[in-house]
Amino acid sequence: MTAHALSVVIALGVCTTAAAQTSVVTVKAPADIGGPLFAPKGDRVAASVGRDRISVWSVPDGRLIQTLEVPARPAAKLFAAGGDQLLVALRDGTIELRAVASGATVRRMKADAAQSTLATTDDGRLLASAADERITLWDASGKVTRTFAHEFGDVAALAFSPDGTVLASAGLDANVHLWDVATGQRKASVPDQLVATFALTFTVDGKSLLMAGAAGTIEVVDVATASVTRRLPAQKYAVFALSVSPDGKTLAAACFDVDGATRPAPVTIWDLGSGRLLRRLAPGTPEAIGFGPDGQLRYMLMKGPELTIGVTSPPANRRSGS
Amino acid sequence: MLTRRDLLERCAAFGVLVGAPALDVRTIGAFWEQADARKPTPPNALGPFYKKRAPDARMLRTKADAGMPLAVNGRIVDTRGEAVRDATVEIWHADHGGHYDLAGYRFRAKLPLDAEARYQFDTVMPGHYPDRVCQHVHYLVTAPGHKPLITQLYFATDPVFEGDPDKNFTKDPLIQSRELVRPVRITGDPKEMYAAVAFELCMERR
Repeated sequence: MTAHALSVVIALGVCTTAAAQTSVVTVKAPADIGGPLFAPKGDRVAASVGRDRISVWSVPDGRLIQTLEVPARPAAKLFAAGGDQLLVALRDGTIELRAVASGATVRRMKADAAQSTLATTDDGRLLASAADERITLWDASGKVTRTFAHEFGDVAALAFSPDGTVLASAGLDANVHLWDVATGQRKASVPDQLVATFALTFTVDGKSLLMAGAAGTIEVVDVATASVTRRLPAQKYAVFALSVSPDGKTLAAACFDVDGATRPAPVTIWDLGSGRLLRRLAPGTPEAIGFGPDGQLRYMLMKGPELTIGVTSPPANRRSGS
Repeated sequence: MLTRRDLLERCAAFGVLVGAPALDVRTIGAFWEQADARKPTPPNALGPFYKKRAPDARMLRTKADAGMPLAVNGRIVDTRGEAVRDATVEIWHADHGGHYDLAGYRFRAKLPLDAEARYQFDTVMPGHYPDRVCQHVHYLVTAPGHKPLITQLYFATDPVFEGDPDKNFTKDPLIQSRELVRPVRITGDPKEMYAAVAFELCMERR
């Protein structure tokens, strides 16, 4: 029996509350899981398994789709081509584009250091990667087209605008920059940022950048002016991930406790139109979140070799009619 | 430890340069520069909780703060041992309970330097941050013409090292260099003990 076949669904359930229905599935891999992430459509998850494998499961049923072999545990991973491909940043600086269905290497790029943060445009034409404070922009042929840099420290988050013309970057130097992809120039920096931003995502129309981090406040930034136009009420937790629903109306924020990231922390769900907090999920210590095309929010929990995937509806937003 | 400049000045004072025509000044300077080169302080992770615009301060401790009083001093030098007088030194650490102040600036400071690029600050021994193994103080040192130096100070008295930091410093996977674990001098009586640490930081030129 192969290790591939050893990944099994060990629990599957549906719970219904007055607020929402949540389905939960737990898969067990043959070794400890790390760095789980959702595909853009929310229909797949990938995670490192042990040191030399990446497994991909389907959502919500937890069926194992593929296991890819890698030389060592990657520095970063990211789904591409709508979930059919996986970008894998290796420790030696190589970035491999792997086909999920076959496991084959489609393209191989070589950076001079392990790239710890990855982002792609929606159409897949551009890839941004970061190692330490340096950001590299790659075109679809794997050629480096631009490089950008933060002042110091690691780049914590990268996000392209939906049309691919603007790259937003957040560094542990507490700076958030907007880069013009065509000219390679820094368009602007978001002013008055004192602590680090860990999560960046654009609104569906690309006019606003949503950002949050150590301060716990979610800020809405006008991309044209780089000014903060709205601050959602601060929670006591820091935020490490943001996701916007496909209809652009709902925002989910995955939180962590600054006094210990392994402590339970909520996922907060917001109505973007009004800035109102709709719901607080308390799944435990979420590792990743992501809306699917169905408008349902997915979250992941990780414990040793077990990966738990929850799919839940955000009903309060629909009730509010916003 | 003598610097290259110290040595050249002493040579000149004792007439060595004048009395050794076979070696020109540049050759001797290069020799001493190589012989006396200091290694840059090993870098260490910036961590997620840096905060800009920390206030100028040397006294970070108040009477109400829990934890053993700690005094840290040192000097900012370059790889030739010369003082980097225009360096900006920022430090931050968790309080005795392991909590970082993100809303304000408790246990965060930009440290004034004297004419010899010496710094000192008074604080409390940091607590153990829940997701880290060792007590630590973060440093960010920047200076024109030099690479930013991002590192951390660790304490040889940290219980994690079980009294043997030479053997046990890797118990914290983030500690890549024994050099960052500094000796701690503890003084005072059992009711009122003080810790003191010296930590010199060496910057690389760009």
